[in-house]
Amino acid sequence: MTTQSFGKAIRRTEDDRLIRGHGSFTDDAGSAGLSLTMIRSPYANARILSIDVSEAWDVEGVQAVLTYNDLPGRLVEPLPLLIPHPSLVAPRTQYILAKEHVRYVGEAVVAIFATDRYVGEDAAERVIVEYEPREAVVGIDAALGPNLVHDDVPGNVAADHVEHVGNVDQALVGAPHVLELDLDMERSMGSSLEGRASHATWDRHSRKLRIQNATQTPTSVRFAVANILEIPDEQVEVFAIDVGGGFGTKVIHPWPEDILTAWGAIEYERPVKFTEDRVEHFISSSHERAQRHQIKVGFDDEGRILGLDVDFVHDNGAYTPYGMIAPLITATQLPGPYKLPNYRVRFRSVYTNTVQVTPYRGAARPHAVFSMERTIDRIAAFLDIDRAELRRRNFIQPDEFPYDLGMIFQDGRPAIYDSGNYPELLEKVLAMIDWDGFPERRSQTPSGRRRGIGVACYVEGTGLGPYEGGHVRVETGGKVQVSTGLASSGQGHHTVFAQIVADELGVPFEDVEVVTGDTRRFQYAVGTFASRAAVMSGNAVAEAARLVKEKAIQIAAEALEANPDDLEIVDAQVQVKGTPARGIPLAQVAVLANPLRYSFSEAARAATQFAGAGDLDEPPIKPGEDPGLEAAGWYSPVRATFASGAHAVEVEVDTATSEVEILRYCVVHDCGRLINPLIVEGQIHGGVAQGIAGALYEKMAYDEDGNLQNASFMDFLMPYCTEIPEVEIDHLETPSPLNPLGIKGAGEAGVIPVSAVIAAAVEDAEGFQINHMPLFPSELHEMRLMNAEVSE
Amino acid sequence: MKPSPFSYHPAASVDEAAQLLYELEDAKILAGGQSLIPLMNFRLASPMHLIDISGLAELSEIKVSETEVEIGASVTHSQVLQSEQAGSALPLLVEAEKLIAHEVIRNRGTLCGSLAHADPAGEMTAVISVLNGRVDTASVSGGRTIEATDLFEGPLQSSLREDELIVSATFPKLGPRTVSSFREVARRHGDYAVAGAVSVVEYDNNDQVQSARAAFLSVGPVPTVVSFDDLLRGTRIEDVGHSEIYNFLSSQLEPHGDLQASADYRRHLAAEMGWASLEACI
Ligand SMILES: Cc1cc2nc3c(=O)[nH]c(=O)nc-3n(C[C@H](O)[C@H](O)[C@H](O)COP(=O)(O)OP(=O)(O)OC[C@H]3O[C@@H](n4cnc5c(N)ncnc54)[C@H](O)[C@@H]3O)c2cc1C
Repeated sequence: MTTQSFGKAIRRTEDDRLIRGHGSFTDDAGSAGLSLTMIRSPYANARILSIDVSEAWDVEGVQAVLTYNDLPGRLVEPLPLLIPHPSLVAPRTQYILAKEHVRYVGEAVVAIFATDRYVGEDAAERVIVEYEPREAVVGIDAALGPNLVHDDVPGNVAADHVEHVGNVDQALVGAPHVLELDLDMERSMGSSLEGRASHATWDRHSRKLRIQNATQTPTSVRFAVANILEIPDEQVEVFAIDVGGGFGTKVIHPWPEDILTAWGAIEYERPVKFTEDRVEHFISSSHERAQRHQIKVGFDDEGRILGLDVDFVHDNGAYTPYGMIAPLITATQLPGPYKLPNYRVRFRSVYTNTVQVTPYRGAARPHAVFSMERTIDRIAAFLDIDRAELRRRNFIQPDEFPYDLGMIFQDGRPAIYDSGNYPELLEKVLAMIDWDGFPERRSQTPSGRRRGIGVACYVEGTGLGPYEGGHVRVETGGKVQVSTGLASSGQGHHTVFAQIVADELGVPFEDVEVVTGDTRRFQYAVGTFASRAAVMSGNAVAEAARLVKEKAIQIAAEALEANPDDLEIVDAQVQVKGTPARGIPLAQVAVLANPLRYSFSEAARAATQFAGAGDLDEPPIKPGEDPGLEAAGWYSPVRATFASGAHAVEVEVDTATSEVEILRYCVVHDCGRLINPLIVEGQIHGGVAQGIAGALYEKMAYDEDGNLQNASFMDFLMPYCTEIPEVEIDHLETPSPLNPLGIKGAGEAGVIPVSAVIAAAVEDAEGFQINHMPLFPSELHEMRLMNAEVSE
Repeated sequence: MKPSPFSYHPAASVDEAAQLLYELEDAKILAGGQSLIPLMNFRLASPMHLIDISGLAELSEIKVSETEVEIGASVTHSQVLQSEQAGSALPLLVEAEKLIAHEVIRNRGTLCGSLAHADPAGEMTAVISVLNGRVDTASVSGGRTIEATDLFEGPLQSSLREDELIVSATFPKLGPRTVSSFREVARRHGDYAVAGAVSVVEYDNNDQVQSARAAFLSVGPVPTVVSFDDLLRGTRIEDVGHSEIYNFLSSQLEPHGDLQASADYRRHLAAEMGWASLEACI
């Protein structure tokens, strides 16, 4: 038997290369070409009066200095609106270089092509841009005020959306108790270690534009570039070899620099590279998470929720290239694992003079979960019922799947939970953290400390369509080549796709080589986001492997003169079931699958048309067959599959410094069948770390003029490993009935309930309400003083 | 985030460094580069010439005498940390060094560099202030000694002349009846402190306080030294207690607010750290 690798904690094949510094990131590509340097707006809201670039041209090494007026063809158009939505009545996207107006600090204004980035920055200092600043609109209050971000968008409202299930007004009127909550969250960002990057080379001989791009979705880069440069798709090749994290930002193509590097490579017939630096990443890549929620909840004496009314405002920044995906996710994911017979959600998405907001790992679910879980905790406090018990009373039960929320999910399809077991998740995590033993532990808290505990649950729609594909080919040397169109930005695709193919095909894991995100290898793809890669590409490569297996058995059956139904593939050999002696190696089958005219090698000699006897009345390749032992497979789901989890945390808060220390952090996670527990746990660790970052360390500190005051890792406090506690993890495996492998997505999960659960634990420790995240010691200190005053 | 053009001059001796510093227009000393290079990458500093003293053997010594510890200008934070000699002569140096940045930064950054940089959030600015240490300098017109009390003029502003470099920093050792302690709060491991205090307490023969003072970091434009003599002389710290010390310090310190801490929180924190560092001297 080939040892099964699905479900095993196999170490990542990527790591050896990456740890030794043998990765191939975009900035590693080429050095002889031009470097693109952008001049970015220092104003959040201003009219451009004039731009004088004359002195910059004189700097030695400068190839070109461009403003909006120099852009040719379709480069003068605003960047595309990637995902329209009926609620998005006033979509706005930015220009490649600002046209007359700038709307956030960091917006691209001038592009400099120079021999390197040093020269580019020297030249940038000589460009004089005259601005006429206007009042900046920063934050949700300002967005709802009189000043405008776009003169033609009244009230700064990009979208106004309402959805409902049941009858909320009636439910609230009839409810024995009604509570109101105001909850808000601030901005953060994914902060991938590698920023955005693109390296474009124009090969004038073969007329190909070759682009290595730090992207989660190479096909998007390809189609965007071809489209805007008005050249055939065929001439554009995009690949992402190694990508140092994406977290959503590297989905939003095209960025201005994607187009400018590609255009410059053709125009100047030299490779052009753009490597975003850290300051640029802070002020010109996407942010997320600023949202303010007003909640009204009605419930009965037992704490069962009868009606929930949510009205929230989403700060979408200056532009909306990715449509309304983020707030729509909050709207549909807010109910989580709970039954809400009457639920209404309204959101307004508003423009501000800040960096655009697009989904960042977790994609507006952290706010949804924060809203729902804070509401549950508040009801529990009001009725004096244990917080865990209150959750039990409201859960969707295991026998109620498929469970239709009655809403439309972000993929435009009904939100129907496919499977899950929420009560068991909760019981497991409570046991893990010893919830019942907490009062005893609390009584032993050292002096100068306060202890608290919290729990939070979530449901996450993953594995969204429309589709992904995969290709599997067995080489005559025995290696199995796998490719899929979406790119890896650290998820471990090379390992898990190899595991899947190895098992489906019956070959050792070590024989499988995976390439991701290369349009030269696989042209059709959507991308790596929305916790979809394993579900989508995983099932697609599994399908491709099954097709290859069928073909191999067909060919081997002829060669062995056996019935195909009697054959199996074990350890890379096609054989009569249970009889290894009667078999031929898969590599040999690959030889047979490709009749050749010339022989270059031993294997090729065996495959020449004169080698085998064959039926001389039949063509070497029969009608309906293709040469080669290969196949493409596809997976396209009817709708998303819903993963879930429960987190619990115990904290200690210092009475003198107001610092929050996490004593234990426990996760129980259900993403269906586990392909590789090690990788799933790694994803959860990373997610929880980002969640803790968002809860206790990070925010985008804009001043009222729209300057980001903490645009460096010195002031934006991304935590180090020293700030992240050990994360204890247990799994539940409720297979998804929607896909053959029974899997659900796991990439974002870890981050989702962290702000909710930490807020709960700190609230428990301090005894006053936590309605705002993140929570910094300085603010917690002020809150203590305020609450002390109130209670005096 | 790329620096403007500059020329690089590795100095062969202190004399040459002083000569270059005198001759070259807009020149700066480069030691570990852990503060200067980031400033240059942000183009907040754009010196035309860098004079590198990090390789100078004559500045690489740690000398311990009966009464003092002297650290040469090319000695890195890590070398101080690893020096058993310095550690046993003046444990406070090691205690403070452990709070500075991370290992990779300490491997390059120098102790004298952090004094020249004069960041009031730097641990060594507080240590040299509370100990009444000094630095020795060199220049073409000759060297001089600058007492710690005269060294810091404002944030990132020392009293060094433009043609002058620090050759060493000297810290007096503590007497047998003297105890010291450093306490600080940083948002992340290795970050500059939001607030911190380093206390030195000298006891008389009856184990009562003879004199006590603390230097505070991150609470003002320069390290702030506070004397507790009026409050503590002839008593014990524990008898005076937390609230009296806390209130005294709250009235003494006038910190600023920034992204990480409101002025009130920082005052509170500094007072708490002041108390904690005194308490640790009991
Ligand atoms: C991420 C990070 C975290 C840090 N955290 C801390 C911290 O917690 N606490 C802390 O104290 N420091 C911290 N630092 C700063 C670090 O300690 C620096 O090494 C130190 O402040 C400066 O030393 P340097 O040798 O690197 O000086 P350089 O960067 O080379 O020089 C700094 C300045 O001092 C001048 N200079 C240097 N040496 C001399 C000399 N001999 N004579 C005259 N002028 C001189 C230079 O011209 C320059 O203006 C941190 C740095 C980083 C990057």
